[in-house]
Amino acid sequence: MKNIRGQFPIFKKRAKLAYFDNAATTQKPDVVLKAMDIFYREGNAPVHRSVYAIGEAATTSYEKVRDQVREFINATHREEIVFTAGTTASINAVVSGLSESFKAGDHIVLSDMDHHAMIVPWQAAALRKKLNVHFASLTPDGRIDLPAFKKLLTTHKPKFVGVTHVSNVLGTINPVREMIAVAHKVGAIVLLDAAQSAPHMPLDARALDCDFIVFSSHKMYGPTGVGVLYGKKELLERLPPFIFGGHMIETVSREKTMYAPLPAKFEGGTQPVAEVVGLGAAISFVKKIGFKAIQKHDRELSAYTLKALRTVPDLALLGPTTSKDRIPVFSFTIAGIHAHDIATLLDREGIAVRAGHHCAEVLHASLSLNASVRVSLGVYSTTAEIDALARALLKVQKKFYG
Amino acid sequence: MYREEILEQYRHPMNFGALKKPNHEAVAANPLCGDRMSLQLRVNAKGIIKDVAFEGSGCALSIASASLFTEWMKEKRVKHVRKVGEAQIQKLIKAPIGPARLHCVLLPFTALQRAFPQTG
Repeated sequence: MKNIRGQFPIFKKRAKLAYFDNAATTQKPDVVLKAMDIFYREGNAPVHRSVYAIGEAATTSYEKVRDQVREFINATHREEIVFTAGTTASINAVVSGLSESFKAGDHIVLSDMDHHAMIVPWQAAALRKKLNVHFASLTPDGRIDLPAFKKLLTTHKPKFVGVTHVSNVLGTINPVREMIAVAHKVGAIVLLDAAQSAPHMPLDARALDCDFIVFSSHKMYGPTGVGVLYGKKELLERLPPFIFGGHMIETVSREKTMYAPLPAKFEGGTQPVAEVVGLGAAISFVKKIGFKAIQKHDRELSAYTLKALRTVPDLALLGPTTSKDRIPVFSFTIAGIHAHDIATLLDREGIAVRAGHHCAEVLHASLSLNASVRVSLGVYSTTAEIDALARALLKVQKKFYG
Repeated sequence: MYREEILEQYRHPMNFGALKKPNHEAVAANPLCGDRMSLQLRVNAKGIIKDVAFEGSGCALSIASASLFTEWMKEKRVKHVRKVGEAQIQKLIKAPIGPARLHCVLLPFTALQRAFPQTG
């Protein structure tokens, strides 16, 4: 992982910044910024239906990224890849489309570690369609309680199961292959929220046999404003569109509209072409480092961080306390000091952490907490930064405890 | 902003607890972290705050702010407190508060506004 940090302009401008909010959004490498800049400077044009040269070139670049994403997640067909505004938009598209055909009394199974992006769309749909939403509970060490999860499935035979690949608070990697398989056994459609896993581990749509997989560009070193909705072809073909407008149509008359085939059906309106190009550059960037190297870096940093956090007295880590089956995301509380006070004081030392519920209020409530501090690492994170964090936390304690 | 005076207020806040016979009360929540603060007041017929107390878990800034603000508002008119409260809190904290933490220090003021929605 040498020479990675140097590829991120923000660290040239802010050499001392310890950026620990990667689970919220990562920084962007030169290659991503340049790809977008060149697109705007030299190739900007709307995609599809442009009969002039730069329009065709823009379309080619845009569609090339679809092929890249297909390969990145090992999907079968390129039209199974839909560009959306991000993970939240992807989930909303699926919930809106699926729930149309769900009936009152149908069951939905989610889990306590899901992000609000998974929970809130289903709660809204449940109100509209009178659905029952159930939450799989967690074990005391912050992992999905598999027996309880299986029992929920066999008891309720849900129509839909939402599976979080990696917790954005605890860093836990869930046994998703098994979870997807048991959900399929009871006939559920399964969506995998891969927002946190996409930058840390390979995704294999075919091996996972998942119905929908969603993730965002901006959490994997790409730009904001674009994400991916993968869906099995036959499911996407049945799913009604979510955004209606230009490009997603075959024909429009005063009387009716015929929708376009996949993937255009789900890409209504002018697409964020520069962002998609940026996502393509981000995928190339991640692949160039390679998941083998990223996972090694993650394992080493996880072990180092866990050890460093243990040196801080009265620090209580949420979730797993080992580096097994986790990504380097660590949430914690410190007795007597509020998460926001810790975050503000760390900021003064040039350490950017997140404080609050991290869009996972259900998880925090299940732990009887309002807020925690979250440290989430990326490819450019270093052990020296972790040392600085541990020192700064001791300093915060000294200040508060007096 | 985390000077010793603020931390001392956090460790030993004034007016923390519940009133026996409040005639006005309200709760405000901090959207940042879900922390809740309740405010109880006893106001006389002339609209003067005779007693006040607050309760809740919170960060040092919100607790210190509530401590100093409640102490300051005693024997003052509700109307006046409501009018100048926001500026007064910033004066009491004596440090510039960035937009990210403004919610925290203004939490007791938000509760006060809720307790007297009718007063301008």
